[in-house]
Amino acid sequence: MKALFLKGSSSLFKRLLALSLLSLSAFALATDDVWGEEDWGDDDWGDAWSEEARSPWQPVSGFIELGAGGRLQTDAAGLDRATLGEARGRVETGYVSERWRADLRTDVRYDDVVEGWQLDVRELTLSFAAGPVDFKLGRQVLTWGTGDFLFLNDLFPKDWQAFFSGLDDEYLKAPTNAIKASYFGEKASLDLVWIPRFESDNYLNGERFSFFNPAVGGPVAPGFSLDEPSDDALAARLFGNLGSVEWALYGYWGYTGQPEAADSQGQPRFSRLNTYGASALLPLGPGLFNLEAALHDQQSAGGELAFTPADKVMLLVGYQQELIANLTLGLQYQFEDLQDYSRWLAGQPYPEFAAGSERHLMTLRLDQRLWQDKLTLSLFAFYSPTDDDFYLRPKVSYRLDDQWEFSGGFNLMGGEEDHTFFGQLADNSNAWLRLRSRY
Amino acid sequence: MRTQLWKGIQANVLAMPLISALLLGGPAQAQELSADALSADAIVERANLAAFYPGQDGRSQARMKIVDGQGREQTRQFTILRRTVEAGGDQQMLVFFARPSDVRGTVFRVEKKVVGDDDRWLYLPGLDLLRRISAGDKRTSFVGSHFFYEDVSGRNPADDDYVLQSDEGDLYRLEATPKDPGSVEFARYQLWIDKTDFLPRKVEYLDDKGEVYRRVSSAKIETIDGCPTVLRSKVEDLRSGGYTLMEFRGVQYDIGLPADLFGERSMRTPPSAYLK
Repeated sequence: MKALFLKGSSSLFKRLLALSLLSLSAFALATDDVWGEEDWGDDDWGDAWSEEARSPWQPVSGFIELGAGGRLQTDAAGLDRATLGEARGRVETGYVSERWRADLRTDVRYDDVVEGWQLDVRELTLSFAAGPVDFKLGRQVLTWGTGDFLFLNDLFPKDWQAFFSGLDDEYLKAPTNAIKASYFGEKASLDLVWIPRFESDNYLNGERFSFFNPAVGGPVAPGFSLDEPSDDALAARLFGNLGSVEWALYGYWGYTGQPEAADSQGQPRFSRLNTYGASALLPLGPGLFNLEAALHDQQSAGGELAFTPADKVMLLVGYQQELIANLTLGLQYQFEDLQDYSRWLAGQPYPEFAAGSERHLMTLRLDQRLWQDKLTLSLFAFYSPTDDDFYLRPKVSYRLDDQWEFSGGFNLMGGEEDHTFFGQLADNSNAWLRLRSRY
Repeated sequence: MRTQLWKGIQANVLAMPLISALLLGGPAQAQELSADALSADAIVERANLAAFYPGQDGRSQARMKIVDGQGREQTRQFTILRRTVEAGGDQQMLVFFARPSDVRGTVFRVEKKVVGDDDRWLYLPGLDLLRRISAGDKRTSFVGSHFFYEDVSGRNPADDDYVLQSDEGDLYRLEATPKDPGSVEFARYQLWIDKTDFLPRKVEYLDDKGEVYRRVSSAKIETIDGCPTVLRSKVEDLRSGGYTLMEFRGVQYDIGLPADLFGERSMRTPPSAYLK
């Protein structure tokens, strides 16, 4: 069924590509002269700018993007070569008055690999202030914490399929429906986020990327989808400054973003998770130093789940600095310690493939900007000495002008064993290219 | 999640500087003083105040046209709010980007410090990501333009030695040499400073062969709320032939910006009352 759908849709995709390219050039024509024709003489401020400044309606802007990517090797679980094949259009606009504002940011996309047509509303919010409290209601992307691609206290939804397929980093953060209230005080500020219905990560489910299944003892690509628990989630952050130190305390009461638990039939399930944590960030020497800790407390009591993930303590240390002009280095070290390990391991159906009691993970970021910031070379690398696995994300982007941007890169995963975090993804290693035209 | 570069243009934003003199440039009331009464250091101090500390606070819209050596154009548009903590000293600044569309909604915040590194933060609306940025080289491109961070935020006068070279009619001509030559790309630079308003009219940077390779000039100056203000300036890269034009409008001074406006709240929800 799925194969048929893919076969049928590939010619449609080609037509769509052609269509998109046409509209890209139309946009090129339309936007070329917005500024170019403006006189930079004495009277050139009496143009569209002033209108924009006065009207509460925000301009409509966005982009069209084509992306393609594929595996560098065959997938032992049988997935096709393509990991990315999509055309995407974004529309952004808003309404801003002195008392409130509304913001819309939405993507329409055709995904030729898995999902077909999708409407992805990334933001549709109403924001207003009541005294020292700012409210933001609606669908929104939420982010906090000090890690770089490492999340200890940020349990808001992530899109791992986007991350591993080479979409823009922005798409790692998935939107969720929420009410956010932010109190801003002199000594400390408080964010409270209520998510009326928990939304999970867009986790790897075997449709686009295969993963290791301990029951099979090898990689699988089942393409499953699960019902998310119909329950709410709550997240809080208390934060402030002490001198030049930015501190924060975090709490989360919800579910694991990925279905890490299993029921008695071995089917994956989401389990209840509470987390508590803290972070500090401060300038140190020529760079910035950050420290973050979290306790992930699994709420397995009284449930029908046969297996749940272990409680864990996580610790992150990071440092970033500009090494030389336009070259930035970021280093992180993360330590995870599973609690009550031997008892947890004894309850695991496949202890030989279970996580070790400790996991150490290091990351490296190197970002270089060249040609007056038009060219960006970036490498982000994960390496775990305990799992003996890695994930490399080299990337090049070239911003030709305000309209066109080209980017390309690799997602290279591998490891000594095929059941570790990144090791299981070895057959999903891929290369990707994207072409974006803004309007 | 704190990544150094979310994408190409945000890379530009990282390199992004404070804005002010060129943006909100204009002196406190310049006083008429006879040329021979002023030493080179006194002229530079006055120029620093004139260019970077007009008013107690201020607001301006700015746009840039960036033209590379091949004639390709890019644009940037943003609004700046600035507040002086102490004249000639620390300043607070917020920069709200409007164009191009990939940086729309991006907010940059700087706490400029005369002693020690500036503190800098960036808010990326697409990710709801507010993060601190480590101190960077100040002589790198400001949002992809030919202006450097330092052109906009103001180079610390204490970083150079100045010599008054000549009195050219309405202008003083000074030469500056860096105290730490290893920290900058120039061997020296020359400034032409107006005797009345103390705004620099032209700055030329020379390499170690004595050749001028970079020029910053003011093209239009008006007095706003009592402060002579640069409304148009240009920086030229004489080696590549590229240049950037910068223009300001809607400049206002002493609008009563509160100190606590310059914080996380304004970055996440721009204070529209002050941005109109």
